[in-house]
Amino acid sequence: MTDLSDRDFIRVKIALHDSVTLKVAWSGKSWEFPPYLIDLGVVSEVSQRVRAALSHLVKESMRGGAARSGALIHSLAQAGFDLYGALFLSQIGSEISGDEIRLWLQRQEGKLFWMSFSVDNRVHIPWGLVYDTDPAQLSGEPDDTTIEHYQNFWCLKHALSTMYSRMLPFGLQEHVSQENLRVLAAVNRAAFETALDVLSEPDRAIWETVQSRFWNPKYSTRELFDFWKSSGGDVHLLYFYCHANGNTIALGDDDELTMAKYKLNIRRNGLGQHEASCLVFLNGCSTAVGDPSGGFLEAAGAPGFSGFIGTETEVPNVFALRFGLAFLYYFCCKGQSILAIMDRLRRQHWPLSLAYSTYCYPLLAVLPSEMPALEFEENFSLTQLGTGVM
Amino acid sequence: MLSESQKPGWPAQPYKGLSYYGPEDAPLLAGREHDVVGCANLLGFSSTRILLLHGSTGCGKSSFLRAGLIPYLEDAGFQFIPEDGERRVKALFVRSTDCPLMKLAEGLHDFASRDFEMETPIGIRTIKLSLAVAKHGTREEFLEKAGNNAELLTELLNELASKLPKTLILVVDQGEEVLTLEPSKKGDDAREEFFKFLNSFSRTDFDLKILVALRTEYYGKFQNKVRQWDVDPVDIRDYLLGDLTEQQLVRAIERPTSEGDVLGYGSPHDHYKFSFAEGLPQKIASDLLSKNLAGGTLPVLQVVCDRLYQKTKKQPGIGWVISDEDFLLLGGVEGQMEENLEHVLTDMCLINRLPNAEIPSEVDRWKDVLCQLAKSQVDGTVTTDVRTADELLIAAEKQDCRIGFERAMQHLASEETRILRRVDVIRLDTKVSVRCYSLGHDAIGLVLQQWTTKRKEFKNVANRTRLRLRWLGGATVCFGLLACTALLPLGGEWREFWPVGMFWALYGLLFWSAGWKEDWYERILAATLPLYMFILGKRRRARMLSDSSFRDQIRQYPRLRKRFEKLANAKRSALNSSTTVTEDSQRGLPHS
Repeated sequence: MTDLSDRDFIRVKIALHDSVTLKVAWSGKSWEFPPYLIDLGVVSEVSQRVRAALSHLVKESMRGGAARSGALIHSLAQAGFDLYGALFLSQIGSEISGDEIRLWLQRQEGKLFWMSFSVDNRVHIPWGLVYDTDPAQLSGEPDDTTIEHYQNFWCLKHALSTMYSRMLPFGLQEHVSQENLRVLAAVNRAAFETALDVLSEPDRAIWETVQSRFWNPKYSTRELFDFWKSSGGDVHLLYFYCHANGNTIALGDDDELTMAKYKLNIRRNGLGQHEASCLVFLNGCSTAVGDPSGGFLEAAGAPGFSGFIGTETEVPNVFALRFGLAFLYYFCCKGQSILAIMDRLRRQHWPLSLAYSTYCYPLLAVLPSEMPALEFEENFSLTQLGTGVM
Repeated sequence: MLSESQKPGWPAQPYKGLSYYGPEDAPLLAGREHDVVGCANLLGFSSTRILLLHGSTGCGKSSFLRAGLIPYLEDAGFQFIPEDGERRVKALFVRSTDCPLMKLAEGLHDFASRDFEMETPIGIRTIKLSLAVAKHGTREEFLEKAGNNAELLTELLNELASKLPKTLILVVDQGEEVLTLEPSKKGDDAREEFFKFLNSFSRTDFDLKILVALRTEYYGKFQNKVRQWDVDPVDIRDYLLGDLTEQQLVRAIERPTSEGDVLGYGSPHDHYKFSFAEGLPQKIASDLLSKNLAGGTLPVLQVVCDRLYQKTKKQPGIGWVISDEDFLLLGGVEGQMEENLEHVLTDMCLINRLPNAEIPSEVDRWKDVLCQLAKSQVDGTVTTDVRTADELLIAAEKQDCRIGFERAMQHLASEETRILRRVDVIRLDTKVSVRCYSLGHDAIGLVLQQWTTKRKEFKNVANRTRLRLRWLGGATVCFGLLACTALLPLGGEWREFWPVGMFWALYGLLFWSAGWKEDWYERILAATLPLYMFILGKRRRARMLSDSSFRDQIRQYPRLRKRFEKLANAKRSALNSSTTVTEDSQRGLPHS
């Protein structure tokens, strides 16, 4: 997955045309299709169904384990297939019919693509969960959870990334070294300590590696911004592990950070104006869902940020901690790119890994260095998921 | 990185003088990399629909846009309205003028009248943009309708945006002109309509962005208008293009001498073959910053470096080093803008074969004509005005300019000189396109204004003195003649005093006539006035007149003449030795 040279590049530009219509334009390195218009209402409704199906999958897995969630994955694929249909459902009067592009894409079966969605920050659709083949061909049996049967989710099939800002932020041309990497973690102490107790031995070894090198947690919004400001705003990775929804994160019972408060603090402290582009990992519930005011998507797509990794639905606390830990290990210690890490984690921790989406520059990476090779052998989806959601 | 076939090669000149950098000069633009990325990021953000890019005079907004931001944005998948059917790079800058909506309508019509071909994986597709404008009738009818109708223009942009795959960006250059030009009722109407258009545009969501470039001095006024018209503040962002720091100036100076590869174009040093003596770029940059130059450092930097390059240039293929001495011989950084203007006008006189003696006066006459284009604002800033060719022709005729108007315009608006910029403006009443001119750079306006002020001061003093001189001369003549008349009948030894009376009469006559003829006056005044004042007992005045700076001003013309004669002779011999092609092309120039 790290080698993108064998993949053809496709850019899908999705812009707001008016309050109810989206303009979709497909282009490659040397070609482009005329744009077509689709109904925002239809796409939004279908994406809600996708998220609902994903939420159902997570909740049922927490209750009865993910090992017998085949029917739920099938439902998710069905919703993803509807989203696929909605993406090509062009309005009359468009310069080209969406079906023409869909048919062309179908003819490319077997080709590998690097698919980059460039999206208006007011449009919050889980593009990675688009499923491009009719899942009616699959059994949908509870036991049929094999990832090989569900390879047509676009986040598995293509090297897919979504970006809310069209431009590459500062500092992306040069990879930062591990010595210079600055990680700032904002953590809900209660949720974190509860989940930490459940970690297995191999996980603990990795936790200790990450902790010794990069772990510098802040347990309140005040501490977070004070530290961020004192570091000159120069942070490469801002990692949140806390309760959240689309526009609020809670670092404590009485310590909620709303979108407005976040934006004000960023502005007041002159953060996000620095050359180092900051990646944000919002490891809480539904952080990628967004809301009409823009949510965290907007903030993490602003100048000074290189985007974010978020969740499309609720996530169990232990699963989230382990997933986040694995991400930190591969990103900070192993120097792998976001694209490679997310692909690996999605496959390894299937199916709950579908809850995570990337909305950032996919090739962002830290320079690798000599580190002990540690492996997460377990599928986090198939062990203890947690005591509650984030 | 450009592919081999796309590479246009290095521009002919490493420095642009007063001309701005274009897309083809992108590899020469240095020191603005962070601004390009910062500004592009701001514009790339989905919620930014209107970006006000502002900076002080001479900070290089035009070059930044053309050679920096636009090529960068195009690579990132934005689309600009192109000129001349070119799909790449040539962005249409809608020059604001006093009626930006009309310019916008004109640009859009010309853009949409062409079919837009695109290469898809399933063959060539043609997007017929013309359908969007065809329903509004002919070009004239369209301009009539859309030129002052904000809603119609917004609707058309919406339609175009829905047909084009990339995000369209409109650049309104010299945005301050909408505030500074045409301060009449007619101008007010056009102004209101423009802000109404911004308001109407901000109420929509379609895939198009507007970039308005303007001078920081007018940013507040512009924002005020924006607020008055209730333009959605969420849509508007601004970016201040700061003045270049010393380090950035050094990088801009050194870029054509860099030995490394630049943007895939190769090494500029291999192409231009020159370099600077060690520490010279730093010296030029620090001199530029220490002088606090009105009109900005960048135009002066460009003029200084361009002149250094031209003066020291060797035969093609031979490398050379620009030394500290070359810089000293140029006379440092001060006064370079004035000298540049003087040189361009002198060259124009020489090319048009004016006698050497007439050159200084002709240069002054054209400066007077150009002054029509320098507009002083109430806040003390100087902006460029836009005048029709007819208005300038009348001004040239009034000044009794010797060089044909068309030839002069052609020379002054040429790529090499860039003293003027041609702007075609559509008249609101007749809807006819009129040829107009503006100054090539606001910094020239400042030079002209300073020149006018100095000249006015000098003329005022000179006129007053000349008037007094005429009275004094007349009185002296009368006194001399009366003395002679009175002395002659007395006879005897009184008769011997008769030459004294005659002397006074003749001396007075000299002064009297000096008061009439400017050339004589300057010479006589400079030579005798201090002495005369001393005799009259006006010692302070005599001291003032003998002060070197005042004498310099008085002697400016004869001295300049000598300088011009020398320069003219050198250039004339150079011209004579050049090929006959030059002469042929001169003959081919239109003569009004």
